[in-house]
Amino acid sequence: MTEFLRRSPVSLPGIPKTLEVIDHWEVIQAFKGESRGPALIDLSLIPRWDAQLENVKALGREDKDPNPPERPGQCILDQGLLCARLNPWQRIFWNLGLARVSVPDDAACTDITDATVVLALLGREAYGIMEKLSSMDLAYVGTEDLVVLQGPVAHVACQVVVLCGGTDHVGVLVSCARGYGAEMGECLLSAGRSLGLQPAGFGRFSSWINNMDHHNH
Amino acid sequence: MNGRMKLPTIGIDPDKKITLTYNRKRFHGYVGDTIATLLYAEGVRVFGRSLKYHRPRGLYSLDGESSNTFMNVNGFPNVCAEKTPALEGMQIKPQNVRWNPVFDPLAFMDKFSWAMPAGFYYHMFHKPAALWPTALRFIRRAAGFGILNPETVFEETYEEKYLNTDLCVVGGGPAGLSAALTAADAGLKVVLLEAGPCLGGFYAYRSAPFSNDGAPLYERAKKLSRQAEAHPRIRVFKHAPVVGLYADNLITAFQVGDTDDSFDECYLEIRGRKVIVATGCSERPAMFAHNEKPGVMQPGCAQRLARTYGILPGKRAVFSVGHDLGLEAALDLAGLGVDVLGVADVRPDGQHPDLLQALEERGIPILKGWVATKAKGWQTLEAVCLQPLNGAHTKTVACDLLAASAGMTPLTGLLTLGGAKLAYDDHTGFFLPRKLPEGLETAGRLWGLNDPMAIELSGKLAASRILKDMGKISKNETGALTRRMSTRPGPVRGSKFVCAPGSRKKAFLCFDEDATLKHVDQAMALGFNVPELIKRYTSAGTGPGQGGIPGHNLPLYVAGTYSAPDPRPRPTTVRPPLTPTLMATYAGAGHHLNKRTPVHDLQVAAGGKMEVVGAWLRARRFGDDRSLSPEIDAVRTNVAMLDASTLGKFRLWGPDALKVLQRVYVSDMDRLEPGKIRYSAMCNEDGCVIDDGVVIKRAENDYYLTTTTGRAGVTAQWIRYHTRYEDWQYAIVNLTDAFGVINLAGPRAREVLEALTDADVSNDAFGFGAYREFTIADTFHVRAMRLGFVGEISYELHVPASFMPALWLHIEAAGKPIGITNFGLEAQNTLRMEKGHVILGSESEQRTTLHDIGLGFLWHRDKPGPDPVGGFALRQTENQTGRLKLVGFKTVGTTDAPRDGSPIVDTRIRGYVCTARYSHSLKQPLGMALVDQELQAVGTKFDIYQDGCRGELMHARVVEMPFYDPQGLRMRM
Repeated sequence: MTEFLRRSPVSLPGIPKTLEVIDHWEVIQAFKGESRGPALIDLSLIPRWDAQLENVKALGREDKDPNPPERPGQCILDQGLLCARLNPWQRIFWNLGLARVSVPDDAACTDITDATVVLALLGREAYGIMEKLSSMDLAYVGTEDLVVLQGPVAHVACQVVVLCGGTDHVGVLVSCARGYGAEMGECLLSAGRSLGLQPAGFGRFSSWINNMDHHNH
Repeated sequence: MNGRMKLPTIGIDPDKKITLTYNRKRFHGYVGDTIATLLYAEGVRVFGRSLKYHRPRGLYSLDGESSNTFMNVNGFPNVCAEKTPALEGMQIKPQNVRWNPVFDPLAFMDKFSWAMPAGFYYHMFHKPAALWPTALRFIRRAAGFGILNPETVFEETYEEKYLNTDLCVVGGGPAGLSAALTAADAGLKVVLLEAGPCLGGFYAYRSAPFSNDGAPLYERAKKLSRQAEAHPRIRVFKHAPVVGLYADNLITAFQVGDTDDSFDECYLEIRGRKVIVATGCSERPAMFAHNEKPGVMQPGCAQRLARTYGILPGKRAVFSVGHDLGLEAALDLAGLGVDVLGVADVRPDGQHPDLLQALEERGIPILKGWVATKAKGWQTLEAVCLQPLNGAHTKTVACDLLAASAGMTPLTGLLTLGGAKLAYDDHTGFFLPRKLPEGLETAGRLWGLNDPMAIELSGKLAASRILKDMGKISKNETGALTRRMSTRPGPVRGSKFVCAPGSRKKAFLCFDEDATLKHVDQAMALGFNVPELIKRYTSAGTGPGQGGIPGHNLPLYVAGTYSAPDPRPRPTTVRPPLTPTLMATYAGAGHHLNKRTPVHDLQVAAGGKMEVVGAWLRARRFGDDRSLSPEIDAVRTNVAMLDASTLGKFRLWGPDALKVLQRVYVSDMDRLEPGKIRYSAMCNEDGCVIDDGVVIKRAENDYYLTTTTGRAGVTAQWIRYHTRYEDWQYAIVNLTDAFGVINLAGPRAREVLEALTDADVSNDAFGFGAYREFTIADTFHVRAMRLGFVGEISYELHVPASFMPALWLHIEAAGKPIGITNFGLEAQNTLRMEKGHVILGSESEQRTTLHDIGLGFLWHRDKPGPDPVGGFALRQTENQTGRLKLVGFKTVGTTDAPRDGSPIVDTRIRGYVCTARYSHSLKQPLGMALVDQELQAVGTKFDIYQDGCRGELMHARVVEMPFYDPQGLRMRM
């Protein structure tokens, strides 16, 4: 029987080296000739959901409900599951670790995996790339453990999370409406070209986020 | 270096030669040269011609304070050659010249300057009126700065950067550097902006000693620059002039790209918690007869030509100055080989004794209280007349360089933009801020400081005040710096000299606009007594130099000449841009992102002609057939697919979700049953219709709703706004991008759908107005709606966006045997028009109510729950007379359809055409229009005016709607 594949709106240039099908997504784990420099990675496949209303329960893994961030803008990363509070009544969850946590079967949760795209910029150069596209002060993030910023990137409304596990372990996650995904990917690559930004496969992000979790623990 | 001096201050790279073309001749220079210095080194003295009189103009300063050196570079007009780096292969043309800069036949205009008094364009050429068209052509040909060829393709690269910082220091001179280093050492993030290509300010080209150990200032500049550039918390932007300063310390600037940069110009937007302005001073021009003749330049310009570019500015020089820096420049140039014939210093006393002694030792005569009163020569300077201020004697000296300035002027434009009010300071002769706005500090020479140690201390003091405000240091530390500062020399007494004795007819106040002191006198004689008004009447300071030449002199001259009750000089207003640049720089990288639907690539591959529609790229049509008949025929007779993914889609749920729907929709949503669709509309408070779409009840208190494409981005806010005072428990999620939508339409649409799914999609099981969820190919979970926007059997299939390309191809494959095809937006527009279905925004505008477009049936006036938004207004406007209403019409006597938006006219405008197309189904032009009450009855004839119709109106007649399948049988089959 034919397996119908899910398609990311982002198409990064390069020749795939390793391909893997995960939950109907054809995932490029690595590109040929992938460098260790600053990288742009498509995270469209990671499960994401929105949770609203106060009586929300069972918002993550069954054995452990992450402490919900209380203040708008606050984020928590726990075993690859990122939870961010957008406003007093709304949180979003990004399953960055791709652990076996899917969208909870709860009326308060809405699957937004296909509503947005998430692109990861890895490397210290991420700050320099972002300052070409956004007036948001990412360095402000240094004063908090983890925050989600909501503002324009290339004039498009985005959510931006800065993950920083040390001077060289910097990652900026940019999420925008799925429709903008294709051109946002091109835009980030274009802005990062002079800083050596190149596409990388999902495998690079997986190992990066695992290291990030080690930093946190 | 061929012909260039080897000096430790040199800013060019003697190992890197470059060649450029100027006026069809090749010239050679070095990397680090500006265009103007390269040409000057090669002997070019006349760079262009003036705006009105076509007088020859040369190098006057090196800071772009006038348009003297504006040229056309690689097709760009108005490039300031004195600030623009010379690059290999540049193609440069002089501008505002007829033949060439040296021989310009329009130079005769100078002889007719008497015919062009101040404000002549306000009161000449008006009578006789018949003369004006001819005069207009002549003036337009003669005037203007440069010509931009619209065919020119610019290949430059532009970027933008948005910086956030604790402190932004404007000015990379000694004060700015000291401030930046002090703040960064204390832990602040600092952005340092320097307008020039190197740091160091006026230290960078001076060999005077910094301190008692004898180390020259240029060495000190290098040391401070190295420290700043190596500091991890200082970001240095060189060649980055500031454009403006706005609220909350938002600074805009632009950086000119170096050869290593990825851009030609980069727009900078800096948000600083604090700002220090250390912009220093420029030289105030001396005003005397023919003061702009090539060969006359500012002493600082002459000194920098030698020290930074290794060029001797002249062989025989005379100086006419009003400050010690001028004396220092004279000595320096004499030491470098210029024959300095004399120095006229307008100050009768106050010169630094060391400088006077050095002049004497060199045998350079100094004339205290004397000034240059006239520059002589045909094209360039040949001699200068010097006189004491009382004009009693005259000395004429033959020379090829006159270094002249009246004094110094502080660069306070940024302070003015920051909200500081400037007042005249009698001691320095400067316009200085009385009080600084919060978050803004100043340092350095703009306060009149001249002592190097004091200048650096002022930078440290400014930084320490900021650090104290931020709680980084104690009050005692600031106090210690203040005490150290008090031991150094304070601001020096400034020269008050404005204009030399003698004729003012050709004493130029503003080089850009050829405005002379005589023009100012004429304006004052007419009663203009405020510098702001005189500026506008004479146009002095309104040119591209942004007031750089006349900015300080105009108010001083007016105050000294006009007997006003309040004789204090008043500065003119400064506005951004302080330094003008290209519009392309403001546009930056031009990131303008459009949304693409999940099947964008498939539609492009199928021949879709994509157009920007709101935020999205959508297929207007497929193929090149603009008649659209294949697409329309496919929908009317067979089956076709439309990508409708751009529709707004939302999930609304929670215990009070129904109340929310009752508030924002005009229909009674309490009647909505699961498995059914409710088409409804939203109105604003005025009862004007703003949105329409369908609502589906998927579960108890759980709804799925669609909106128009245009409203998708604001619907959530709209709903929250209109429930903001209610304590309702509900949530809304925007799923617009989460679902792709395929509209499968046509009489054979069911045939295709049946081939795809095991679900019962027969008319009985899934009839018109029904909603079903089923699975296709065991993979695609589909939310399906039975609708009829185009008037045929129609299924709207909502599928997770990531699956949509696969489903699209799957449907194409299933429909291939019966010839399924695509249809685009334009075909849909015609099809829905034939059915009389409206598109909000096409058949409505801001004043259009629900009733005006025939959607009054949607309003349930007695529905339970909260009154809908606009309900009160709907009651008031329901039967209001005099409103434009939507009618259908057919054209009479033509097979053409009028253009959308064409006005309907008789003796006045009576409405307008909303949408009109040739109907392939009915073989005639049809349309919908909003018309006055008198024209609304069926059978009424009206006329349509179209742009370019030359008075031949199109005739039309009101007819019943819908035009096609009036009973709606086809979409219910």
